[in-house]
Amino acid sequence: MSDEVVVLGVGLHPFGRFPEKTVEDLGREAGLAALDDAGIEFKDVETAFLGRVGGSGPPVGVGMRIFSELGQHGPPITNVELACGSSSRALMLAADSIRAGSADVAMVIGVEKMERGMLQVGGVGATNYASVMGLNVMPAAYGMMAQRHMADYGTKPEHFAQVSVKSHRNAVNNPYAQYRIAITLEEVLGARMVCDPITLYQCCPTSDGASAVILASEKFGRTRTTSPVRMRSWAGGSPMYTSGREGLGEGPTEIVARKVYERAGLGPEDIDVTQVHDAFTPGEILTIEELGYVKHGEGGPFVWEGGTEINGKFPVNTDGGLLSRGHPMGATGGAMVTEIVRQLRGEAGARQVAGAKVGLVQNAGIGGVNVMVFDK
Amino acid sequence: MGATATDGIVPLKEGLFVLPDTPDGRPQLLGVECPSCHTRFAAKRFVCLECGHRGMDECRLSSFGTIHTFTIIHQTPKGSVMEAPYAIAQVHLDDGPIVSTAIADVAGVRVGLPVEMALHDVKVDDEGRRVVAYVFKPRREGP
Repeated sequence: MSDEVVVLGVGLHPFGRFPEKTVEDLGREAGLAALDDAGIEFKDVETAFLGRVGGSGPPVGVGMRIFSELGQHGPPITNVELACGSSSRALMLAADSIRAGSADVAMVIGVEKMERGMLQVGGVGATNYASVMGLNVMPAAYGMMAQRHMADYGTKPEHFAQVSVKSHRNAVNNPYAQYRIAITLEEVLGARMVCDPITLYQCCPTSDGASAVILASEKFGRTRTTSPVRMRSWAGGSPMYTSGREGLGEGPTEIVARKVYERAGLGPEDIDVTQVHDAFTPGEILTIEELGYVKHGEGGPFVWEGGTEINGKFPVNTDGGLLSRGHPMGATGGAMVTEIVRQLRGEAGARQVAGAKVGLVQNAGIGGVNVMVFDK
Repeated sequence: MGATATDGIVPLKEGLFVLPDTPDGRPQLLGVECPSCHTRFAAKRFVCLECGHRGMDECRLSSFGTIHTFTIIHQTPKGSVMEAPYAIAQVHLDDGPIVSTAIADVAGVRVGLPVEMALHDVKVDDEGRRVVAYVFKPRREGP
């Protein structure tokens, strides 16, 4: 098909703390790595998108600054912001451009420099009522999801903790990860409680980092590689009002995933490797249910029994996820795609899922959700 | 004006909730109600999510609800008047809306707990008045 979209190149700047580097430095390094991986030059890029939330660095125009560091042949540059889902939304817009025939090569960079400390919606020290009353604490949203899941299904605190044990073990083998140390279940459960049942080691860190992904039409892609990874289907969504049940209806991940499966002509049973938005440990357990990998309520025991391990039935967050790879907000979606592409190419080394042919990415930000499926 | 139950009490922020009308009354959150379909929302909005009607009426929401879910926060956020550990919850009000709120009872908080709205002393201002916020606490017997 002429309108197929392929992933030609991926690249990362390691995630962690890099006080000596600017957002431009981080973005440029990831961008150059992706151009080399794709085997193209920046002048081949016909449209460019930047995913970034805010944080340190200039408040506006960062896309222009970063892409200008790679070259200045005049492509359109678009800044995309969807909180923690910024670069995956940017990638879907880039893919739309290619499928629409308005570009043959599109490039996405995601970048962020963040401050240390607990994320507070609206910023630390905000003076609105909810912030003053201590209601705008980011981990609390996940803590509340976990408590409801525990009450409805009997999910246990150690089920959530096990997500972190698994993600840390995976990150040991990821040279780009922020935390490359294995931790035990006892250490996770015994760490300082943040928002019941979430302990400190069940929270993603704040991070600096960058990701870059280059998409191309299949026709262009074939000039560089004989067997590119395809971006097969994608869809985004946001919370939907349900009559009489404001805030209590079906979440967007479930709805968006069904759309993506239908467009790709496959189902959850076909997915070999997955990246989900585990900013806090409940993210993995709830999302594998919403993606249809297991029934609602079965996510906790499934993780506990190893179902999401690299050698499990549905390997999840093989690179350590947000929890251990790190979560520089604007860079995260592109990093998730980078891991899936490396898995499908068979380049994931000690993290490799044997024979992975189909991969799925779920990235969320401030209520918005992006789901995409890749295959080879 | 005669003396009321709220003499010497001021809300932390105007326009979010009203103080009790009587000494044993409950405070009430201010929400909006659609004049066309009568659906209520906790957050101020102009367009009705249920029927699309433009223009909403301010209303007093029910002081009673049930805990949909909760968590206990163990780290005091910078700039907050709440001291950890404190409980917060999503409360499903009896008249429909869901609200985020602090819960006054850390030990007894649980999913499904019936709760009612109450005042929470934040500080005393320069004029000696009680500055109050709202919380929800386990529902007491009676009206």
